[in-house]
Amino acid sequence: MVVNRNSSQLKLNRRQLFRAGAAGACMLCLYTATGCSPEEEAVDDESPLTEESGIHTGKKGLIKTRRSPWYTELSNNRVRCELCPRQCELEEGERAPCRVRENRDGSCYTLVYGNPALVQEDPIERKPFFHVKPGSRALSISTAGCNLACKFCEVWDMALVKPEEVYAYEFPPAKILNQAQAGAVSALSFAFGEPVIYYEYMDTIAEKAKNAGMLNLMHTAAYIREEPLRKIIEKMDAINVDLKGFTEEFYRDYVGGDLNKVLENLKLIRESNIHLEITNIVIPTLNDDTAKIKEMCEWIRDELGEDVPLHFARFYPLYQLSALPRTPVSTMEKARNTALEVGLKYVYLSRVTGHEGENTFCPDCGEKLIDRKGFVVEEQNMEDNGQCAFCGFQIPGHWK
Amino acid sequence: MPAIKHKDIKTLPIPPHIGSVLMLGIASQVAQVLLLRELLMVFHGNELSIGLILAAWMLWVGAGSRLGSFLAEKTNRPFSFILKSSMGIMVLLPATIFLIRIWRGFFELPPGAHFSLPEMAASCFLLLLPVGLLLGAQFVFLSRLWREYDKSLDSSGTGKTYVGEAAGNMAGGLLFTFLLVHFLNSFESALLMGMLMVATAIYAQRKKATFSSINTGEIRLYPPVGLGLLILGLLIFPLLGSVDERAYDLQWENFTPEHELVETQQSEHGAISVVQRRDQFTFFQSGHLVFSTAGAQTLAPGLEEQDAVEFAHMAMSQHQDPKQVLLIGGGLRGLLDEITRYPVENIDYVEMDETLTETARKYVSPSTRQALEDPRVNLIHTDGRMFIKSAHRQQDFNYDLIIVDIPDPATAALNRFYTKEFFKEAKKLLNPEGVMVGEATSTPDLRGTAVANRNSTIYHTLKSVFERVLPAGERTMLFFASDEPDQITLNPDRMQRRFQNYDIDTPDFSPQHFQVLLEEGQLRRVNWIARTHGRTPYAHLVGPQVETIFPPPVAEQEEKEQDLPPVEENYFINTDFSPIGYYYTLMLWDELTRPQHDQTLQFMLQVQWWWILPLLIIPLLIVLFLRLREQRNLPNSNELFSSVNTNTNPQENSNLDPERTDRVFFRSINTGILFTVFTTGFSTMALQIAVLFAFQNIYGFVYEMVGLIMALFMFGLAAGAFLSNRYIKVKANLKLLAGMQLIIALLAGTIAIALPWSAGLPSPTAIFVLFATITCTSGLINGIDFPLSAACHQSLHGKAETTAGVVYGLELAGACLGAVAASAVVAPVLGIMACCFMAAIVNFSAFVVLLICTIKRKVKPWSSTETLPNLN
Repeated sequence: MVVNRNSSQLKLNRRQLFRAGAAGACMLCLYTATGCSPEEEAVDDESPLTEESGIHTGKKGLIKTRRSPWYTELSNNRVRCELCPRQCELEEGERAPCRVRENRDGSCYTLVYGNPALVQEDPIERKPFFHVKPGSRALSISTAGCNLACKFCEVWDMALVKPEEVYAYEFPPAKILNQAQAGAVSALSFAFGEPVIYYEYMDTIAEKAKNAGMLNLMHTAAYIREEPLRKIIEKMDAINVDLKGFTEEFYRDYVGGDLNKVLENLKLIRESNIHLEITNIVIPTLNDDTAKIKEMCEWIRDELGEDVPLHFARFYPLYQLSALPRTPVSTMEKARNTALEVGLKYVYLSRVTGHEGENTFCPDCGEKLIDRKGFVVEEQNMEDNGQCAFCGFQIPGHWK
Repeated sequence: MPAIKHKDIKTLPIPPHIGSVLMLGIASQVAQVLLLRELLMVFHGNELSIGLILAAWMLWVGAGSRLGSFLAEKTNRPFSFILKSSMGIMVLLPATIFLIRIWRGFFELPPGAHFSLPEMAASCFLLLLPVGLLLGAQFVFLSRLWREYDKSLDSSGTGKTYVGEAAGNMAGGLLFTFLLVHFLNSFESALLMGMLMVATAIYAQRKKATFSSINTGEIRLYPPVGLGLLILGLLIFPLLGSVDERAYDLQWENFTPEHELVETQQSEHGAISVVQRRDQFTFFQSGHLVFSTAGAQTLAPGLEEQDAVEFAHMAMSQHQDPKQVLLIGGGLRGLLDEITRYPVENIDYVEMDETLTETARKYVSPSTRQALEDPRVNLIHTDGRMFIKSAHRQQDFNYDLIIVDIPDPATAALNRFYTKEFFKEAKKLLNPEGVMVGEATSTPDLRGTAVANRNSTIYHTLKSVFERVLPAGERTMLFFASDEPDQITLNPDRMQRRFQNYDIDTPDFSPQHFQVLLEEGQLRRVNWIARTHGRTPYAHLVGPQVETIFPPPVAEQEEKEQDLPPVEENYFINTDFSPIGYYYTLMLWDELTRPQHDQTLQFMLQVQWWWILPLLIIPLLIVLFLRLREQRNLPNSNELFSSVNTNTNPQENSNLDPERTDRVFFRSINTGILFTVFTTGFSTMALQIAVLFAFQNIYGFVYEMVGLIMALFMFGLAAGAFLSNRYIKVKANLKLLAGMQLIIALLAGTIAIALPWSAGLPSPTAIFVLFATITCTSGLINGIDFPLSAACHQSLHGKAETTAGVVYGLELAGACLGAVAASAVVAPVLGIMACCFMAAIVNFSAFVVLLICTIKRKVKPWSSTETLPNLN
């Protein structure tokens, strides 16, 4: 048997060829296998908005773009978004961390102008607004995306995903108005998601709503820059701000934002005199320290006033904290009592249905003014202009 | 000394190191179970981790055996290695357990957060490395010792060590399950195993001087060190109780900080931990949060346990006037308390884990404790599924209301309560107008693919059994099902009226709650997605399509439902043998722990049965190609295996001189044999997983039974290897090996058909016997196979320890891959039968490959001057 170098070289070549062929065959199989699922295309609407598109159309990954006014041009076709304190600098074609802003040809575009993922009518108490037209209903809209990343997010499947992965409806601003007016709603609400990132869309709708005599409500984490905040407040009637915790570590590690900026914005909102309510979710071991809660309540009392309604929300295990037990009711009650002792007048417990902390009491005479179970208003003992029916004390709010 | 011929030995010789061989098996099995239980805690009972843990274990043991074979060829002191590695295990096993307890601290996980898939994989592979390597390497050294004792040059030593180790595995499994887990904590068991290993290693050396001249006297250093370590072990032993406590404290501090760990208990179903924060108590089983309760100091337990209270009243208001109630799970978290306020006649309350009930009883609120003492409550400690199966034969009444309060189908065992078969069995226990109520975690809008798929699947599965099904809820989805359409309702006014009729005294729930829980818009949305999702071929990949912004009222949706396209059964009906609900729950976990990253599990959902074919056909083609070329070039290579021709060489030694012949010519056979070894490991594991899944589903999840089943497998394995060693004279026989592959393939195919059929067997004993037989048989066949493969390989390469390392290692590698593929993907997504068929196809292709290796052209016989190899 002769094994000469020539044949071994030949064998080597054949072997290589064989391996390459085998690899190619594998790739082909995998490709055909993965290629079997349908691909979703993002719909890009660059054309001017037509106000007459049908409202019942929608698809997964629906994207509607519009050039945003909130950015600065930088060198090399880069842009800096000026909407929120992150001030992301984007290369051309780059998508921002909030997932719904993009640099296209040197301009910053929003990808969520007219494609809400959530459109629903709800009692106003769900937002939660307890001092705004109790018992009425609002039309809520929200899009995909968020500029924070809370580990306890409740709407993670809408907010913390890309718009390409979410089913969205085609709803230009005018159609939203039509929808609101057709339903039995008295307010538009920008809630459930994070309105900061769909600012432009919210802005247009709010303008139209205001002109049509409807209320504008907003529920936000208030991680936004001063100028856009000032501008949008002018169109709002009431705003609920999520003050998620009161330490910088908590905001950094569990929220992905900056506490001080939120506090600044709260003060700014207060100056503008629109109705403000605050929500704080109480998470066991992470932000339920009584001393810190007291500090927070004192800050609210001193900087914002003792008549700002404060909602303590009970945490239930979800998202990335799904193995943390829910907040004990005793912790919730302790938080509420602390707030009342500090001097805040309207302190509520949310998600403890049936607790007396869901009701509004008159700070002056102590009578129960609004009896609630969850978001259902059972009884009201108030005058139309928001005065206590027993002693006449004026309760702050937007009662209309 | 004359060569000892194998057939001259009448009785099985017992070498002096047999103790070490058995001990290796015992310690391996105990170590594996200990580490599995500890790691399962860290991963919160995630069953996917079991596949990863087994894979990592097998990988390192396999690598260790390869390492061992490398070292064994080089060293002259096998005993010293065995002693050193035993000492290593004695130290490293308890150390690994401690490391596992504090492992979470090394990751930046927030409290209550779960490990993600890559983190789990990395953890398994890192933590099991030291112990796995040592155990694997010891195997090779022990097989060498046996070979020297036999004075043989072949791989029979490996075969015998295999038998001994398997016997030890079996003993270890039984020892742990029936003895160790009841009396010793993890550290104590681990140290005990290590100490026994060291002791037997020292003892094994006692005759070394008489049996092989290869060992030198340097070994003498080690016994003193070994003995010293043993004494140290004995001294430390009493301290291990507090080490265990401290380690648990550290572990729970990382997981739920500021919650005080008040108690830990070992139960047959997993480790129970109770943590306290203020007046709230939370119960974990294997690290998985089972429920929270109010404590003795809670002023308003109904508010604390609000979700349970709401569930109870929602469920009770689904029936006009329930008298006979069956409650599966959940009673301790507040359901029982509320149900006993109703004027029911009898409540059968089934809880699986008696240890959990008795532990929880100490901490729950007084009203729950009172409810447990209520004379109408019949507390039954048994597996809920088994109860449902057997109840209709054992009692003469049916229930009005069955409430299933079981956690999400996050494990295959839990999935049994969400399957079509379960619902059918439960329906037999219901009165004609009876109602069944279940629940699962959800999100308000069911937007994510995993949660929408999962909950829609539960809906469709229920709908395939009951006339009418109504889903409702935000954070938790409730399912109401009944054959009497008018019985169940989502109308809050109607439920309110029913509730008020009872005039129940319950401080923390009011009729108005129904209005809150059944908000109209929410109901319409949830119903819309549950009903319409899952009716197109790619629905499971694409997610829910919500064309209508404002869905119509539920009544209208129900009317129009029959006009919708049919449900995609493969992906939206959850069955015992196709546990897709379990897979979707894993997908949800993947989405939650690794947001915005590529979702592996979502990708694997696309897997199809034919994906495995390219992986099998390619080696087949390679071997064919090589073989044909060898045949063409070298007519003499026909004569390699004497069994094919006439030469009955009694020594079963290779008739081939590796130094003479060019190795090139055996490449095809080599590849064939290696492929066979790998696929046997793969398919055996896949088959075992399929059988375990099926066993769990049909027989009931009985934790300690699994230990017994594994022991039976090991018994079969040991028996098979023993028989093969003793009675098969000529092992290096390719055709025999090929035949074995065909037998395995046929067995796998038979199991695939037998398993679903066995679900129909009436008696649990018959089922158990069937499963025991299947397990034993597959172990037996696998045991016969291993020595054959080893012999074939060894006759090509000549070095017995290399063979031991390569063959053992490769089989483990195949088993590793089989474990992950079967448990994580194939069984849940494609079903259990598909898993068995996959095993069958894989072995069949090995059969074909080996047949190809025996292709020969008809040529003149080679010269008859073949000589025995000279390996001395």
